[in-house]
Amino acid sequence: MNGPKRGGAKKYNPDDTRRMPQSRAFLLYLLPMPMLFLALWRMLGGNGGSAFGFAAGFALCMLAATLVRKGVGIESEAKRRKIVRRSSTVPYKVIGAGVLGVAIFLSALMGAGIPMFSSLMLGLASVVGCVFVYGTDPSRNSPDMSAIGVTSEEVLEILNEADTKILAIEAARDRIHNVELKDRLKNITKGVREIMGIVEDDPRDLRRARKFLRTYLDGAQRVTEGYADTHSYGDDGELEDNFRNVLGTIERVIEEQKGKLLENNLTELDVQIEVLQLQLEKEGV
Amino acid sequence: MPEKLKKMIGVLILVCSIGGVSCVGALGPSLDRITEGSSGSKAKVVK
Repeated sequence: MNGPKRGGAKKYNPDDTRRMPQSRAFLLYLLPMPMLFLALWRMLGGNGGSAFGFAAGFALCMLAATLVRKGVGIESEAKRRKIVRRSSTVPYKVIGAGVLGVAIFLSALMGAGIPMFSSLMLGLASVVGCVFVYGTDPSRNSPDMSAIGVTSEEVLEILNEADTKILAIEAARDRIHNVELKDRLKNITKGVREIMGIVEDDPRDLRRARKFLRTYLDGAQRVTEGYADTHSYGDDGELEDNFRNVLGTIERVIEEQKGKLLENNLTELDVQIEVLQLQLEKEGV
Repeated sequence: MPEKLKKMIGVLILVCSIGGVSCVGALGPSLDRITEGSSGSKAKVVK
């Protein structure tokens, strides 16, 4: 009655960086399925050549589907993160379409016994169909990572790790009943996402944000989870005060981190983070 | 070409090409019998 209950429908959150639903090249896995049965049927019927044609075609179709799926995944991540993986220099979708063409040509020619020219046309048609549906691979127009001392994999790995930690903090937040603390934690996760956005926009900032996103965010996650676990056993005034202090420090550091990232000031922030780490240990929440 | 139309055409092409090969593979022997029968080249004369 008074707002959404836990376990009910989730509130829409445009800042949510969780994995978006994406095309999984399901069609390419589904359509060749009859080829597997045909291969078995032909094998039982003693038609080895045809069985081989369908079996090889089916296996290549599965390979093509996997390659296209990987390409789709990379494209989806690039759209979400504004950064393209270095491994995307391999044009997975185009290679997948080519493999699909070979698969259809082989199964048409050897499996179904369709004449050479028609088999070739079917193979070409499937390549065109695949490119029409899944498109081609994204071009790498993000900054040259090797020139700035980090690889795109490194940036994506740290951002994905940070995402996981944010989700853990949000899960712990759901177990806390104090509205004020919940709101402050919400602002904290929002601030961390803003920092991640700054790094995505300019991966050179990773050098400055790495420690924050790895070590410090890890500490924030542990403290929040620890508080949520302990809090469920009952209220403790001292514990709550300590947690409030820690949240205040986290909020301050996030603001400073954002400011420093924009100002490109490295040293002072590193020192502050170390001081904060010591404080977190000292507070022992 | 609008993206949605392109995708729809692509799906149609994929269904026809991949599905077509499977259909011809499954119905091949039956189709052979039908075509042979209609052409009359190997039709048996029933007395």
